[in-house]
Amino acid sequence: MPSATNPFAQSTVLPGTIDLPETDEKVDLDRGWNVVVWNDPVNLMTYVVLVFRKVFGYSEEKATRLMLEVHHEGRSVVNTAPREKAEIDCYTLHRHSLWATIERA
Amino acid sequence: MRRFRPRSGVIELKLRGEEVDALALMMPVLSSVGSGDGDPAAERLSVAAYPEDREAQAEYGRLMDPELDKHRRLDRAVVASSLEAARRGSVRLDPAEADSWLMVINETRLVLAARLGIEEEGWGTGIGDRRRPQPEMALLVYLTEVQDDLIEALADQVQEGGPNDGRRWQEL
Repeated sequence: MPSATNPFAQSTVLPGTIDLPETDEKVDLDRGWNVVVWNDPVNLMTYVVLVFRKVFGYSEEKATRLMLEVHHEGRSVVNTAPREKAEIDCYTLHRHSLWATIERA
Repeated sequence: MRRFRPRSGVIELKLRGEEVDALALMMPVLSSVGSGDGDPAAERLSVAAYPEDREAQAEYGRLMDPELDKHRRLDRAVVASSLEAARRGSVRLDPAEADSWLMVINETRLVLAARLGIEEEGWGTGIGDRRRPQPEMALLVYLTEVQDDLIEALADQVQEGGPNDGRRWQEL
C-alpha cells in the first residue's frame, strides 16, 4: 500500500503517515495537453500560417512547417501546454475558425 | 487596386461601391447560420475541443461557447460598421479591427463552403460551370481573393516571439 509523508510540511515532524488511495490510472502530470489542428479544404494555407504566427508567436518558418504538416499529414500538434493554456489556445484557434482539438500528450 | 494597405501600424481599407455591396452580403450569410443540428454551416463553426470526451467537452463548451458567440457578434459589428464607413471613403482599421475582418471573412467562407458541400480541395475549379450557376460559389471565390489581400497586408505586421493577441486572452 503506498504511503507518503506530508509534502507541505517540509520542516515539521509528523506524528505519522498518510495513506493515499490506490489507483490504476497512471497520470504523468508533466506530459501536458496537445493542441491539434486538423486539415480543412477551405482555409487558405497563407491564412493558417498567419494564424499560427499571430496566436503562438511562431516564426514564419515554423508556422509554415506546421501548416504543411497539417496539409500533408492531416493534422499537426501545434502546441503542448498545461490544460488551461491548451484550452485557451484551442479557443483562440476556434475564434479563427481553425479545426482544433485537445488531447493528452 | 489593393483593398487593404498597411500604414504605420494600421490597415487602410479602401473599397469601390460595388465591393462594399458585395462584402455586405457576408452579414446575411452569417446571420442565417442556425444553432440547431442539421445545419452543416453551424456544425463547421462549432468545433468540439474534446470530440471523444463528452464530459470534458460539456465543461469546455459551458465556459467557451458564450465567449465565442459574444466575440463573433462583436467582430461582425466591427465589420458592418467599417463597411458603412467605407461607403464614404477610406477607413483606418486598428489591429483588433483588422483581426475582426480576418475572422469574419473566414467564417463566411466556411459557411458558404459548408452549404455548397465542399469537402475536398480543388473546389475553386467549378466556378466556370455555367450549367449550375452558384451565387454562393461566386461569393466564396471573391471572399478568398479579398482574404488573400488582407493576409498580405497583415503578414508584415505580425511580430515573432510571443502571442500577438494576448489582449483577447485576457478578456476571457
